[in-house]
Amino acid sequence: MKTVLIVDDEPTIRTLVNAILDGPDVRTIEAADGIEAIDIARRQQPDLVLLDVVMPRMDGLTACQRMKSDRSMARTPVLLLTALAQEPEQERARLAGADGVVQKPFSPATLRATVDSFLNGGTKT
Amino acid sequence: MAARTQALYRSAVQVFAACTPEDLHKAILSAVGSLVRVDLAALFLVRDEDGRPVCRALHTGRSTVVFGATEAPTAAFADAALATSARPAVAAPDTPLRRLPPSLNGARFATTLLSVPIRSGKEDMGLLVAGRRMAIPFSPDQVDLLRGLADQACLALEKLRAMEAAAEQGRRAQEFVSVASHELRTPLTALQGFSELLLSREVSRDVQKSWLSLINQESVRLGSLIAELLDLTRLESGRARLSLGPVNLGDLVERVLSLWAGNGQRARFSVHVQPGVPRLKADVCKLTQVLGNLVGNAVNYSSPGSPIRIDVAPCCLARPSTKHLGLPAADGASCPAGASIAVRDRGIGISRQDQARVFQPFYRAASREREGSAACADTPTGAGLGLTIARRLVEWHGGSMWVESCPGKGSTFGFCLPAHPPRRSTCGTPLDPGRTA
Repeated sequence: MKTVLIVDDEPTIRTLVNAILDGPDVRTIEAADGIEAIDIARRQQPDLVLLDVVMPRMDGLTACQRMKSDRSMARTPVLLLTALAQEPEQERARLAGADGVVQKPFSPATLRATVDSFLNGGTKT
Repeated sequence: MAARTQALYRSAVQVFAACTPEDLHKAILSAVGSLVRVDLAALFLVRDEDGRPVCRALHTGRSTVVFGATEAPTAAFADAALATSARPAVAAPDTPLRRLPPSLNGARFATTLLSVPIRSGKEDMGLLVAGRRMAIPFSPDQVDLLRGLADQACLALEKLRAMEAAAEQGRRAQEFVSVASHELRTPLTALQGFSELLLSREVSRDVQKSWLSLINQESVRLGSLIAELLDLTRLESGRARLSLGPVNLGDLVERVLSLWAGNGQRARFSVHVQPGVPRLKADVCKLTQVLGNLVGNAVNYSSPGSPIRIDVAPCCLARPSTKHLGLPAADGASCPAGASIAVRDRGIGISRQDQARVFQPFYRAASREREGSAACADTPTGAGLGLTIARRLVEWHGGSMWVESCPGKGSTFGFCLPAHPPRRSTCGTPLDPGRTA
């Protein structure tokens, strides 16, 4: 059983991602912003973090950076789910240490496949 | 004469070639040196915040120092130059110059000062100062040359200002589009995601229903977002019109509150109308939209059933220290209050830092969702443009908006309106783009 942390300030998106990942092999936990995400990730050590970018209190890029510079979480793969489409965002995601980026809106099948590839071997997208 | 024309032509070429403020300031001072023999040249520009001229660049013999926006040199120097600012004049040997910091040593030796105002129409933009070590007065010819240069400098400064304003507007527009597209993609993600899941999976009727209701909720949100975007665009472009008529604010409050009667929420509201509230000339539909937005926020950002108080007064209801938005002087003293309305909730409140941002497009309170999300589940979330639009509408009436809040205790949003809106509001003049949050 793998644990995936879903971080998004929009409850609807968290419900959606939860539904997409629903299955016997994945357990999901949730956070609504970057600060909560770091706190939960540190305590529960998920196998993958799906991180929204634009969030109140602390955005996803900052949260990603903090996780990657924290020894206890540095090796946990982080996938950014972003609705920001421009090139600089992709570059910033890379600089923040993200392992991959999924563009919103996404197809459930694509997200599921990407998540599976991370959970089963850590392929970078 | 020909030499003079040539010299002025050369200075014009120099000055108009500059593309950054620093280059322009340097070019102006270098032109002073090429037009008139000086040991010291300085450029003062009027600061927007307080209208005081501050030194932006200083040339002393061999070197030119350009100052950033924050590090203008001594006030004493400015005062010395200002003493002669009213018209081109030769100043007496000045003592204040001797108080300059050591880094500006060269300037200490100036004994003759000439300062020429840089003026655009009636607006004072700054001063051009020329100084000499020896007590040799500037000739009328030299004064004329520097006046000519001051006129060129004025045009060049205005050109640069317009270029910067255009660039800033472009940046803002780009940022707005980027944020707007982000906001559009979020509900779209839910629509695409849930519909694809419904098409590809066998799920129970209950799950189907809950996903469909999320699809419905997000479509409504997408619709209102698009409507708000169009609203805001119309307001910004100046195509919207106010349709003015007499408005009784007490009636307005009752009309807006009747919208909440259906949800059994009416009992939460208490309305206090002070005596003497005048009838205003305003657009009743637009004011309904403004008040509806404030009341809607009060409902959404406080726990179910907690009281919401609405005050209507013939004067400004903001505390004296509260900053009014959208007014040049930004204080209560210049409040246009013919009348004002304040909506007070006992909700989650807004931090001081966020208070400055609540009127910006797409801002949303951080903790909305934490606070009784069940209560908000039925209320479609606004697109985050409601307050921006409300503020614009109030400003268009010649009024102003304000917010007072204490995190954990509640927020008060209010607006003041003049008895009559300014004339421009009815003829569709574009809003001042500088006010874009």
